Amino acid sequence: MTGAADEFDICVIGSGAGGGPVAWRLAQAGYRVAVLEKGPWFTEKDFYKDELACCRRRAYFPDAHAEPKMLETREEDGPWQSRPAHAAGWDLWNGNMVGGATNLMSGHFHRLKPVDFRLLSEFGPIEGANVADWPISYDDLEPWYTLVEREVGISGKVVAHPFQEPRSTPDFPYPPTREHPIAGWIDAAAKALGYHPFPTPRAILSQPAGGRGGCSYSGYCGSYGCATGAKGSSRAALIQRAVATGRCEVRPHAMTYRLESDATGKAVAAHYFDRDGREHQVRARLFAVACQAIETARLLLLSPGPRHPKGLANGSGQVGKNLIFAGGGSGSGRLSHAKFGPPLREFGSFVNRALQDWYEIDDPAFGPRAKGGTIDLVEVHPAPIARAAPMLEDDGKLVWGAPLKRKLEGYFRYGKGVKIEAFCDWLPHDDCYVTLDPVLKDKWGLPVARLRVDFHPKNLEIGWYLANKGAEVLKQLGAEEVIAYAVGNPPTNLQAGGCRFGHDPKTSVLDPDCRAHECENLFVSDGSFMPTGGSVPPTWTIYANAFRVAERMAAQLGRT
Amino acid sequence: MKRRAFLIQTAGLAAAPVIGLSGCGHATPVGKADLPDAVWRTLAAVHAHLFPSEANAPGAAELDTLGYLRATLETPGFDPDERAAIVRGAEVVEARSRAHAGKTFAALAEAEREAVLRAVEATDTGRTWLTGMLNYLIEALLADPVYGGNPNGAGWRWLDHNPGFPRPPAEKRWFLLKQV
Repeated sequence: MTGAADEFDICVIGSGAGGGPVAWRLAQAGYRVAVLEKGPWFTEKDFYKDELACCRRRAYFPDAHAEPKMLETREEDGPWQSRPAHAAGWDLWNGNMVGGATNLMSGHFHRLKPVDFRLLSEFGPIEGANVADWPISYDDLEPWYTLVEREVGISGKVVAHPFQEPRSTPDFPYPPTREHPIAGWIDAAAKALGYHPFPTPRAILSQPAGGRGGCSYSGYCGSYGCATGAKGSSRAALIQRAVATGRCEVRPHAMTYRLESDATGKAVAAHYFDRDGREHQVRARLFAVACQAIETARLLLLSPGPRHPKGLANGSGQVGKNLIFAGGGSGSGRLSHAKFGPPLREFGSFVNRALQDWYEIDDPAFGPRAKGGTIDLVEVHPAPIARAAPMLEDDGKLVWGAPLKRKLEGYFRYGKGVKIEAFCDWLPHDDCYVTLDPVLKDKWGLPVARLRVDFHPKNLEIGWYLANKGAEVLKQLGAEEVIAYAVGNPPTNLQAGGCRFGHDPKTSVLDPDCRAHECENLFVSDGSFMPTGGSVPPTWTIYANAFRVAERMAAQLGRT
Repeated sequence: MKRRAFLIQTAGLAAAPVIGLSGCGHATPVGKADLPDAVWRTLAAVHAHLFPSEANAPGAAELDTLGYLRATLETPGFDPDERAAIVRGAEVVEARSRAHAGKTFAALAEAEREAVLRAVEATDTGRTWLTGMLNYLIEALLADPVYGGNPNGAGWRWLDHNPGFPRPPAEKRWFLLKQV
């Protein structure tokens, strides 16, 4: 039984990078905003350097058994095999709380570049991939990237390099976060090779601002919530400010299960369960869906209406299609205390180095000119249990007793590890999409998202190329045990696509303003809009676009 | 929430570690976490073998790995299937010990213990059980002491590891955060 409805100007579903900007901008503009968030409302007082909480017991995530997803994958060209994602060792939930996954991000932020907005025009079609140009240009998004620097808080320093994107301001509003000596060693090594390293911008305040603390350099960062508010989570940077206007109401533990639409096709109400399973609804003039790509597609598919028989805004059948992640490669090297001496022992500061010399690959040894990507060099995460766990096995045999203890001593006391994280486009294609599972239900009895996930082989070619370049730098630096490899499986925390924006309602779900082609008061403001993801983690772009969408929503409300 | 947290904390105090070190360092917490005493005796000997005490490096006894395991078993919502699997694994170890040498596992010499555990490892369920035990061991070694192992950061000190800050207080342990 659905209770009496509450009326708002805007209802935002999800409070992460796609939801926070909409909530804040519209509350600031004087509108009444409801934010429905399925997770709890944690604060800085709930985040500690606790590996059991963040990672082993996953206190900030849903129970994967109670809220499963179905996963369909295959080996090479073998048959498709489906099983619950958690049974396959995948966790596609990335933060179930006010502020969403941004609470747990590491905040290595890169903008897209002009070329990313016209991938098809620049490089032509790729067989087996659904590459498309964006309906907007870099210039359209640039002011919003700049706004994110100021409002979410990005620390950095502009250093010229061959693929530096245009900027409307000379530098970042906050100076770079404190750097570990390793960063300087990387600079020297990369420059000796003729490359152009630069400080990775971080969505972390290097000094207190706006009621948030500055970084305390407490070690750890990614996967852990921030205890000072320095990390630019949607919660710390935006939602709290939206609430402070007095016009934004956040409802935690609100699991939205259906968007109701009327006979004209307009969205009229968001129906949700509270933590006790009671049903409620929020009515609003405009709706913004921002549940992260997979769950956004799922919610629209769960919401058929009189004018939307295949799911809300899904007349084209495009909802859930062209799901993307971030493609790429990885690798690592080890720096020993014996070789690098006392400076290596510095604790808490960041390595923060990136290379984009190969954002476009123009290398005869590789082949025709191609879109490349970004290399981030970061310190291997210090989470100790995660680092120790791989030592429990050697050549298929369990390791224990004195041999295990010697392995642990050798690894932990040796020095520090530097990790290569290489990002390239995850090429969108026909075998990477979201539907509803016909059988498996979650704890509310709702059909769960069913994902088919395969990767395009081009991802691997680029991933290998970039990872090897990163390895070259680590070897030059004097790292030992340097390895590099490309990765076919997606990083499950970097999701986008599934509700492409575009000009053509037959091939896209959203118009260039991220308004549904088929539903005039429905916007999708998370990463679902992205037809291609760029060769960087998408979070800065999701934030920037959500601010842009918020402006379009305000304009639409102003008209009505 | 506050009242519930208080009750859980109080329960934790009531069940504070009373691991006696007896004989060759085997912890024997009796009657805890609904596990039979005999199972605890087996687990104590297994832990001592998997992570032995050494002059310059802490072992299971110094890291209070059984205290950690007991605290984990007493965590609200602990999976009853996992609890049953822990018991079954210990029983398998004892059955193999008796078949191998006619003695309890705790009474075996080191080489015999190794042979028994390697035989356990050779089966799928045995390997799963041992992997679980080893995972509890490294958690007891490296998780925050608030969870019952790693007393005073002994594991961190041994491995020259900096745990960062802030560290979790008892009222913010992961299973309490799950109730927020």
